[in-house]
Amino acid sequence: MSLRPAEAGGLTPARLTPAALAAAVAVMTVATVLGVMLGAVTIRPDRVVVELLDHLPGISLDSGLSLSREAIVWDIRFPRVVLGLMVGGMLATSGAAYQGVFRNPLADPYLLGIAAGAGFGATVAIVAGAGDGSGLLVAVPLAAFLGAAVAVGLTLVVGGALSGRGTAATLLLAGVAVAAFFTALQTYVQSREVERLRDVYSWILGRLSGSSWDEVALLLPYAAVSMLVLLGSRGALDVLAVGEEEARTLGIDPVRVRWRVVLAASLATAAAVAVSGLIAFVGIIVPHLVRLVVGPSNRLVLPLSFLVGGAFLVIADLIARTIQSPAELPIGVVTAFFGAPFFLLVLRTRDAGVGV
Amino acid sequence: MTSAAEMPAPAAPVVALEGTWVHLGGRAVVQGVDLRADPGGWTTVIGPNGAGKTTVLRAAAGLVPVSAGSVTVAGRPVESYGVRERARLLAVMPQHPTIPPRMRVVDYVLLGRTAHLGHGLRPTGEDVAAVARIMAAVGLDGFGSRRVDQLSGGERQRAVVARAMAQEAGILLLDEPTTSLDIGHQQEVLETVDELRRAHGLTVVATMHDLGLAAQYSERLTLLVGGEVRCAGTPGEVLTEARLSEAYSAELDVVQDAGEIIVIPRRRRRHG
Repeated sequence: MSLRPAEAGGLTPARLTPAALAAAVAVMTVATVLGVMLGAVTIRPDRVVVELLDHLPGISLDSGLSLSREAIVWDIRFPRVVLGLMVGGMLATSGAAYQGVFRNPLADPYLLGIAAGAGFGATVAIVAGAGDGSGLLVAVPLAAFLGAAVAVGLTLVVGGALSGRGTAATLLLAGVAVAAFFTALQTYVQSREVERLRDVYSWILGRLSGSSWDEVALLLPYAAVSMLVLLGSRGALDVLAVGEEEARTLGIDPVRVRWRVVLAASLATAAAVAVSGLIAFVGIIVPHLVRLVVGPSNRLVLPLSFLVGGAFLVIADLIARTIQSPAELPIGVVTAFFGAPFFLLVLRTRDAGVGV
Repeated sequence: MTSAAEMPAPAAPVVALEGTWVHLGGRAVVQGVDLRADPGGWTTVIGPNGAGKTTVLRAAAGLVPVSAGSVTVAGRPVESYGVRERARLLAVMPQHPTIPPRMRVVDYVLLGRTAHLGHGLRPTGEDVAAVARIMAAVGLDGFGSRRVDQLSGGERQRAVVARAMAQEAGILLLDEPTTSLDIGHQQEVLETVDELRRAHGLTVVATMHDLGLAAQYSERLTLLVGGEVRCAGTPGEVLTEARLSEAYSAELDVVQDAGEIIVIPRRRRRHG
């Protein structure tokens, strides 16, 4: 139902306006086109657009690209960009949802032990999979996902989320403890197999290189389920902004919302981490940037974080693979390079940027 | 009882605590409390700090588990309601409301509509129109785009009242509604609530520290000491020097004049 300000005494409640949505989609589209056109070989943007449209069902266009260039666009760069959009969107939306549910501007699924658990799982898989590493493509994401799931599960149990007795603070503290534990395990395994250190680090720092449509297909169901749940919870997250007891008196069961959001965001993050490694700070930078522009309402922050988070990661990946081409920088280095200073800036301007 | 036939049938209480016990952290904070709030009336729980006033209110709202006795709201045990159903029946104004950073007044007051919204919690034009009416009624016209965390104490309290009113609940539970307000704003907030109560036939249950204000606005008082009801009745019955000085360990005078009750603290006499 539309809200006409004239009927409502000039009141304009927070909601996702078509203009804000269009702006975020535009940012995402520009990032997508840039991500596909730039690289070792530069392809004209109009040809990129035509080539991508050609692949839509029911549309047949000729981009004028040679077969090898078509392959670069459709088989190499585009899946990588799509994966970047999904991973970035999932990390950013999960971060925004966590910050909402814990009413803590620094909350991030990484905090509940996911990063450490995934790191441990991946390290074990890398260390165990000696040799050429061809089997790693399947084993590492799976192990990372399992590690993340075990760690976050442990955090939820220890933190009391299962019984409903735990508060947001106990859950976060449990996450810190679980993360420390899994980091210790990971460091132990890694220090016994120093010759695999390089592989472990390249995974830990995150990468989208070598992504194909297979990874996209692997991630898609997790992305769809988790994002639907999170976006469906954005109104409830706004109610939770007044705290759990008040939310209850307003007609929301805070424990159920917390459960739903934590599970969906954890699933999204574990799945994203499994295919891309540990890409830091996206879940913190992007939601805060979005809040600076559109205000604190999760009705806007969640969907816009998804779009902007995707664009952010695609651009970060673009920088990672072009800045010292043909070598690739780990994408986590790029996000942290921008993320850490930004994080400090946010801390210094708490009032402007930190409201959840 | 034989006299029951001669008296007008008492309306069923809207909120009733009967022999209610609440334990928090193993401590019996509320001990066998009886409390009844009549429909359309204003009932206030008074008592010294730590007497369990807030806990009584939270028990009435179904926010704390009751270890013995019962809490009934509109004829049914409070725990038998779902969260949504309860929020449409009963609005709570907390003593220290959590003010979300940067939230605008319109969005804050709209939170009161939560239990009326459909799937996805998307407010309709009617919800926004209702919020506009309520904001006008509490004197927050034109405040829609202001940030709640930047309002003055009095304005903020009115925003909290507006949020509670937006719930369109018949029962209003107020926990120290005038804490940290100056005397003018205390009056303003209580007058606003009382006008709304009379206009909509709301039942108000409050906790209050200021005994003079409690006497002015309440029809019935319950004096709570150490988690137990010391006495209950009209303000004139409850607010006596003997009861208050004992309950509060204070030296005070109570002046009852032309229906007004004034409680005056006295300096303790120093000896030596």
